[in-house]
Amino acid sequence: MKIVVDTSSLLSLEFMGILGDSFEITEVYITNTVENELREIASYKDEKSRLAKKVLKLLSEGKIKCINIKKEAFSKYLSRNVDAGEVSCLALCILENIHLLITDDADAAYSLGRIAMHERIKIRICVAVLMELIKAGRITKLEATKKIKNLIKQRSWEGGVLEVLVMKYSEENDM
Amino acid sequence: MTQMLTFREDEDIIEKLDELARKKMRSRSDIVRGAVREYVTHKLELIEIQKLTAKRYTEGKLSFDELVNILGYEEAKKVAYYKDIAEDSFAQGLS
Repeated sequence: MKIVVDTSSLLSLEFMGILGDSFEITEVYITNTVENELREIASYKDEKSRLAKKVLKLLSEGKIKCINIKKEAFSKYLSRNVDAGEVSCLALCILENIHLLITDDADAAYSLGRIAMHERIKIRICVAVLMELIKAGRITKLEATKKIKNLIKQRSWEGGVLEVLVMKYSEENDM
Repeated sequence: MTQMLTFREDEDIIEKLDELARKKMRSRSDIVRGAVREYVTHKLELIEIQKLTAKRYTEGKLSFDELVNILGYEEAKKVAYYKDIAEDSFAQGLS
């Protein structure tokens, strides 16, 4: 199974400590635009920079595959609600016939949703990778829940959709 | 206290920025500063409202119509879409 992951979701997966594990269940693809975004983030001195450096290391080791997508291939999809990184990911899905795009950005997901549906590409958030790791028996539901809760805190997503859904998930699974 | 901020932008946007600066008789920096202030303030307010309403919508305490009344149609559609893909992510994983 192949997935295309945007910059923000790569950092989320690395923050949750599951990006490495995800290679056991899927092939992770990014674009050169995402790689450039990671390099820029890595040049700062903060938590995101630390995560970006780890992702770039995985890229240099060949565990993440990067495909060059020219701007002309996706510029028609650019809008004020979606940046080049996310659009390049959608273009990569279309060009390489990959049917799963991982993005945590609500603006981007909505902006790209119609084209994605037309191209039969499913958009998921990074939680989908965790759920797949549970199915594969690599982590427990409890571990996954803790990781999501920590991510919500780290990304300042408290009080949003994800928090409601993770509470619901916990209740449904008697946690 | 102020801080210096530098960034890169495509040439065509810089050309439009310069055109706007000429028309408004303002400097390039003034235009960028104003745009950033307006965007950041508006976006942060919007995020807080979105978060609160999205939470209540996801909990089933707000209907889609009520969401539209608060956020407007496009923003409400965005929240509803994000809720759907987030629910699918929990329920289906990568399937």
